[in-house]
Amino acid sequence: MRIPFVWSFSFVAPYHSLTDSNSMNKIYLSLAFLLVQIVAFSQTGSVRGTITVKGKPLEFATAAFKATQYGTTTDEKGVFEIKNVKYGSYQLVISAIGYRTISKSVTISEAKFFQELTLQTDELENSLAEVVVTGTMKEVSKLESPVPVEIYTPVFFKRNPVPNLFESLQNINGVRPQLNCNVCNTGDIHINGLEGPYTMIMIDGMPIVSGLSTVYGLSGIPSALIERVEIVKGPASTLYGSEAVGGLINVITKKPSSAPLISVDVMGTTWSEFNTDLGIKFKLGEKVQSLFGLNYFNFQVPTDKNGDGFTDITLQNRISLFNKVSFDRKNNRLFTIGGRYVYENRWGGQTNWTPKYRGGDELYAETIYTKRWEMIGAYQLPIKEKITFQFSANGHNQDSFYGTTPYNAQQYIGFGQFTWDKKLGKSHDLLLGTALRYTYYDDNTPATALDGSNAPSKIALPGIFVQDEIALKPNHKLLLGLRYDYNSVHGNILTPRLNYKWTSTNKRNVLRASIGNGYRVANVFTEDHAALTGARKVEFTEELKPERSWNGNINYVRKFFLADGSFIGLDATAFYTYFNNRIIPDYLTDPNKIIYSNLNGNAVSRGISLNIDFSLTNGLKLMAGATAMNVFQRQDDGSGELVKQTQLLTEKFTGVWSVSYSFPQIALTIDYTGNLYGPMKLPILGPLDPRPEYSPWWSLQNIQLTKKFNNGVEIYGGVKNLLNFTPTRDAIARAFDPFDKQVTFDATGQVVPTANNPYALTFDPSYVYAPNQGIRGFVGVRYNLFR
Amino acid sequence: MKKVTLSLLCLLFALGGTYSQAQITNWTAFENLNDSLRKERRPLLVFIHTDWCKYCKMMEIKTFANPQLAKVLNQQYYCLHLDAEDTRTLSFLNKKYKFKPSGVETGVHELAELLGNDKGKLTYPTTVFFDQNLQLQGRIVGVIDRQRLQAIVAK
Repeated sequence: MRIPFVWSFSFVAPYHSLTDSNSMNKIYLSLAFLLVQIVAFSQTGSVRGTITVKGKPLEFATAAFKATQYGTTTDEKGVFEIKNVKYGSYQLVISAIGYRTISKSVTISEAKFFQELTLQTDELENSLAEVVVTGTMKEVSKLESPVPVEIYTPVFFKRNPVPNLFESLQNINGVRPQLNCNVCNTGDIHINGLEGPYTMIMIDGMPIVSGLSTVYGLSGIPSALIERVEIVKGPASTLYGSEAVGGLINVITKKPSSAPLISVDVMGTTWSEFNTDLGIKFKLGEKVQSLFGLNYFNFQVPTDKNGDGFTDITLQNRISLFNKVSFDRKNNRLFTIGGRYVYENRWGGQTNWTPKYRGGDELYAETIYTKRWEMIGAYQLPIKEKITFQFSANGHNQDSFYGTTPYNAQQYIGFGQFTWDKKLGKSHDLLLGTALRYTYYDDNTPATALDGSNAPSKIALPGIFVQDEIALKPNHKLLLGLRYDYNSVHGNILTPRLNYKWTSTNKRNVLRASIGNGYRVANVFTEDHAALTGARKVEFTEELKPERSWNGNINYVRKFFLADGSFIGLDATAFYTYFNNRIIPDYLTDPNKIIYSNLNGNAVSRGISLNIDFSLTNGLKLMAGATAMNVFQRQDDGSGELVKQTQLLTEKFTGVWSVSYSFPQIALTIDYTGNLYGPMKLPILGPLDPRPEYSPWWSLQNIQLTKKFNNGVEIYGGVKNLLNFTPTRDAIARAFDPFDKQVTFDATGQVVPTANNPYALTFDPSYVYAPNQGIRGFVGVRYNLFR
Repeated sequence: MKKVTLSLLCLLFALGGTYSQAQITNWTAFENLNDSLRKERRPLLVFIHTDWCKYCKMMEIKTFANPQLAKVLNQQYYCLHLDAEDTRTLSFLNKKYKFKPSGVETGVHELAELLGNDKGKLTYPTTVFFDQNLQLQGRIVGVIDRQRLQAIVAK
């Protein structure tokens, strides 16, 4: 039969290619002919046949004469009949989804105008063969989840291309990759004002459990291998541990069926930054699929446009390799392992610094060598119940100098977790689990010293958790979770979570509420780079207790589908977090020190955020978000009175937008992206410091053009930081005297104003609110090869 | 701030009026397809989507919910709705297909991969057409607007 190719769309797959390319069942045929003569009425005849598989009739198979209009399908008995066929020779083609197409020559003439065929087939077992159903597979789909999940696809991140996923997150409302250090440019991810450690980072649902710099967890996965990034703001499931109260970032990699065979993305900027992403999909065997990714970032030109004698941005040389392997198993059980290795060499400081000055007091620089490896995996046990073992291990080695202050740290984490997924009745979806995390941490600071000798910190953290997702009514869902952990240093930790979701019947309105608590044991050296800058001495006034927080979120999502096919989505969230024992770095009491203590009082982070998403049929897309928040502490002033203070380095307002317009005729897209930040309180150095206490309103805006070609090549280029915004050049205090050699201190260690130092300042790079990188152009090329 | 939040939510609810529901495309459940085909052979339309794909949602609402188009589809076609991340085992033309996990809580359904894979890529939404002899006719990747789908089913 000739398939009538009448539609106007571009691609019609020949049936054979579909079946062959998926290596479906092969049919072994043995044909037996039975010829029956019946009186012919005209110049036509007919064919009747039976098709069987393993002796059983094959229903819904197509029987057709190739390149003709004659065709039919088999019935429940596997029987087909093609009638009124003009005399002639035909190629009879039998096909069915899941079976190899077979063909047979048939001649219909006056002599043989009726033919009856019996086609017997055998079936070989393969991945698509019928298998016993376990009946226990039952994850809920994302939007059904009572936990609010935001989805971002690579298309979104490509609107403002940056070297790694960490920086990409700046395009998401409520998520801020915060720069913590003016010289070394390291940072952490803040979700709705909560610090990095409260955010869990996962790859394909497998957590990268890490204390030392989660930032690296987001580097090395080429965007071509990312299917989507899911972001949960607010308390996530207890499954992800007692820390994930701020939110979680889950990077979903492409399935073998949708990943490109090869993808390359090379980008350079007029600042001589150079970035390469490479992704490759390959088979390691009949049943083993592998996704490999490589990221290389290089910036090696010391640049000082603001003339303060310091590099404007940190010089970096970073390579990261990622490989994920998935195994095909019986009953499609899960087994996947991923590994990653990151090496990074970064330094920032006085522009004429070279490695020979490392650690010395002639020229100042912050120089960090990082080596990090990670392994993550998930294995579903080969039993009827759905029990999954997840595991993760990582090692992190940091060798660094902040001026003359060395900081060398090693961290090793091992993590294992069993979860048992069980449906009870129609409305209960139960998840039980147990986890163990072991953390080894050692550095050269007093944090891991005891009575003058080195005492690495070793913490075991066993835990159990239970979660029940209850479908109260079709429109109402409730998720209850409870987790208990035992910290070998700090004792019992209990973290309850509650999530509730209501969906309107037409599914266009969704309301969610969540509440939960979290705790974390802070290691200021691993989390706070300011603690390491040699510029300030670190002081602990007490043994730090774990920080505890309660967080509540309300989220409302509304979708509009307009008559002309346009889409408008609104997503509004209100959040509130209350902290006890908050660990607060005190920069202000003494400009030469950072004093860490548990807050005697409480702290609050609260705010609202709104996201708007427009997709118009004319090719215009707009996403915009704004967050207004207030983060403050109420501290005991010593007399029992609580005094309210605004948190340093935290803005009260942020806005983010991206506007894209496509010209489909010429395959050109234009993107305009930007951020707007409100003032934030900054750490000034005493009452004489002339620098403003609050940062100005500032904005970063970027524009990009992307041209696509039919052969898989995409060329893009544009301008970043169009407004050429950079902080004032005095952001680093006394940049000309980084070792405070010309600073006079009095007997109590306080700075004395002198002619050379009228404002009584010391060298200090912690007054940082925006990157020092001004306007720059960029150009890049992407290539994706699909098989 | 609470007042602002509350009034914002009220505003959103107010905006969220209900749409009038005329005839929309009836989705044939996979488990009922065999019986339907035994009763009457018809061409098939398989709409492959995921619940996180907003363009899929757009097509559901703007294309499949169109009364005129839905009428034609309901009379002449069997339309199937395939969530590519459905974790249930589905039976299609007497063969069973399962969900294939690629990580924890993520994966793709074998049937979506089989039917929707276009040049090595599975993109959402993808609409797959079969003629009444159950032979694959082709697939369209991306949103199909009402006019285009009407033109296709009219032929």
